[in-house]
Amino acid sequence: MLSVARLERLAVAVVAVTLLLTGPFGVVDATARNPTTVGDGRANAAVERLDTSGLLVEGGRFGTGVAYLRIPDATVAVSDIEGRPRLVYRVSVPELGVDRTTTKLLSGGQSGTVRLGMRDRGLDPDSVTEQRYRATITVRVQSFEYDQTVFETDETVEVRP
Amino acid sequence: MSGDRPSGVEAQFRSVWSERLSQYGNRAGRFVFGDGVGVTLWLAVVLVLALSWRVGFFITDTYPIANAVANLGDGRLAMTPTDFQYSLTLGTQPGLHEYGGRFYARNYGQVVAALPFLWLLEGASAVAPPRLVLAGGWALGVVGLGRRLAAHFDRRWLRLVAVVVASAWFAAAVVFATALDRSQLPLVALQLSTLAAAGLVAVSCYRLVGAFHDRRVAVAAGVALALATPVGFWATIPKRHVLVTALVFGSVFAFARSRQLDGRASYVAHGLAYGALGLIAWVHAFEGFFLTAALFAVDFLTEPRKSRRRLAVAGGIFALSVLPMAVTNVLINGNPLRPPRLLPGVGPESVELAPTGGPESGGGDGGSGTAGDGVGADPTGGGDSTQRTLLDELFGLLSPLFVLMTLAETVLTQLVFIGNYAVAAVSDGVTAAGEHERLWEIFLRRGNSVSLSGVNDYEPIDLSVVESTPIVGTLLALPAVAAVHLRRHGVAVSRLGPRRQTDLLVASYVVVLTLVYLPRLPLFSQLTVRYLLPVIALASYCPFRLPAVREAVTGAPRTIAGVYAGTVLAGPVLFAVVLAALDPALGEAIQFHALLGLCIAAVAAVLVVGRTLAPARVSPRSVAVGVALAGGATTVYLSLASVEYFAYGPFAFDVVGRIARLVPIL
Repeated sequence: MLSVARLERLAVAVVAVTLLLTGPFGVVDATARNPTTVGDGRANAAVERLDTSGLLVEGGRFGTGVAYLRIPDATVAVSDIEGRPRLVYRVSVPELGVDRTTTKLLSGGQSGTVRLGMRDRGLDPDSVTEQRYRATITVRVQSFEYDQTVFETDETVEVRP
Repeated sequence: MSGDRPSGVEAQFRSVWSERLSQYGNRAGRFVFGDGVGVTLWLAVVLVLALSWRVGFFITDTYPIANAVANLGDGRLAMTPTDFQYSLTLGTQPGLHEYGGRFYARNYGQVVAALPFLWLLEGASAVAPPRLVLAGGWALGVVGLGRRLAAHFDRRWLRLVAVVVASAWFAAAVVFATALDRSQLPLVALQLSTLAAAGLVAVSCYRLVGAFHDRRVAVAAGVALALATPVGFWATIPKRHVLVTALVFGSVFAFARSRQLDGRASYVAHGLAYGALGLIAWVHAFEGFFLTAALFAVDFLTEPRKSRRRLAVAGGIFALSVLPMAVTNVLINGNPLRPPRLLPGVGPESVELAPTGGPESGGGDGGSGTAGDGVGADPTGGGDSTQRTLLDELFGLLSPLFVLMTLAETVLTQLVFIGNYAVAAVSDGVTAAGEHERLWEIFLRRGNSVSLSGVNDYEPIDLSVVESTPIVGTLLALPAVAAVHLRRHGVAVSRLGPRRQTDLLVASYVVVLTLVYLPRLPLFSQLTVRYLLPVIALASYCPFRLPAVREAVTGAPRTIAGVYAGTVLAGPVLFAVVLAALDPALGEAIQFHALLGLCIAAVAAVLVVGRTLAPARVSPRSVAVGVALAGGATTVYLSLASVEYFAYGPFAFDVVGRIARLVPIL
């Protein structure tokens, strides 16, 4: 019969032993499996969905009193991932001083679709003087040894009153 | 523990010692936590708030403090540019100060508080990976919490639940573990210290309310302070605010006890009320100064028992408590009353509650440098080789006297300087208190402030006091409570009881801290008006002094707990759904919280006022719903802010990061 007290002691013992086994004097490196930084490698990628009409400037809601450059999400299909490359989604609107990137680390066996979200960018409402701006959108696969642009387009950003 | 087979003198000796040690341990525990409920509350709050912990720098002001922790951990007080471990350049560290070509952080109280945590972490990391040390610590904490809760509620199955949660947590932590570099440990230690302080805020509030009221009200107040006010927001963002708040609450609690007790215990508690403020001076000398002035005023006006012994004990404890600050200042610049904040700043300009420049500009303080030199060049320095004349000998004998005189002069100049500054700060505050627009922005609706929005990349991420802490809105009922009280009991200000004296102290702390910070607000990167965090925390304690709120806790405990739990569990989901549909920008999401917070604050305030004025019409249960919603609104904001809105670093626990990735709001 396993009492609660014994279970508690067991849990504590398991924690302690695991800590020692994964430590500097241990036998396993627990963190090796979950890399957080880009390395070498490559992958195939194709943009599945990127609604460029969603790229526009409009006034902020809920009393924010600023203008926002709305930036759509990008959905990218990835396959054949080798090593630790990353996806880079970049939006730049030079006339508004906007250059944003968002990245996502890819690791082996992760094929499927990847969503790259980018936060809207706050703008000084007084700085938005034109009706239209030019924007460049790119999506790349990048690693230390590899850099492939899989999507590149010039877009017009509309300013909505 | 040990002592199963006491054989021989040695074992007996050992058992006496272990008994004595555990006795000391118990006494220390009782001093900090009060009772078992206090320990449980602390543990629960720390474990819950740790979930939203990100290891990273949210505000650049933290760089110099973290650098100081790393350096002091290595035994270095003065830093040179090669000693910086985080943010290597000088221009990126607001709050870095220079003296004699060396660099110092502005606040060593916080740095020293983080050191024990650093030693613990470094010790544990010598044999285990830092990431799993944190996860293991959390898991063990849950097992401990399960045991305590099971004992309190007499429910054995809680222990089983705790073991299952802890095991699952640790297993997931091992599977998802990412590397946490040992170079991050000073930052982690700093974050742990403020997290522990957040737990102490809850405990001190629990003890303070418990000194006057029902235990259930006290527990509710403790939980509310940590989870339903911005204290939770700043728990793992290691600014000074939570630490100061914990000490402020410690001071108020000690004051309350000193008024309730008699004899020696009362003297000591009285001294501790001042002692906590002395320690605040080590964190922020001017906050400590203004709070001490407020305490002294209230103390002087309300304490009829002014015996010489009481004064001696209080003065002694206060003198001891300012000693760490004075010693630190002497080690840095030779002047015990010149904190690092008064030394020339190096980093980018920052807003500081401290006078610019020092009294040395008038020339009077030139003595501070010489005072330090004088100590070094004392007889020992000059007496070993060359022949000394009689005159030298004489000067040698007198030099300690000179040093003392110079020191006294320095201290006096500094006191005059600080006094002048204090008067100016308060009068500025009084002027600012007359500006309605300023007050509106700080306390009610922050929204977009055109003059400041450019600072945060045009993102209106700041909230007002009521927007971030709707439970403060219930204080609208204060005039009603006062009116009802006066009608029933008439005016009896002449002789205040311990409760009212403590209320007066809380009010004066609130007023003095608000006044000195008013001219500096509204300001960018305040998020939850962080300069006023101690004020907001004290104001959030006040509702638990209102009869209407207390009746809601004691009369409808299940309603208040249920509605709060429901809000906290369902709130983030509802928010995620609504915001996913609205697809907001960061500032929009936060202003959405702000508007919702204002609405809920209004509802809660109306219910509390209604209950106060017409108890027959408004039931305790509806007040409970209003207060629980108001508290829940803040908790929901705190959790989403960490999980979704402000991603300034990877989570301390990878599992939380995995969950956060599934919430696509922005």
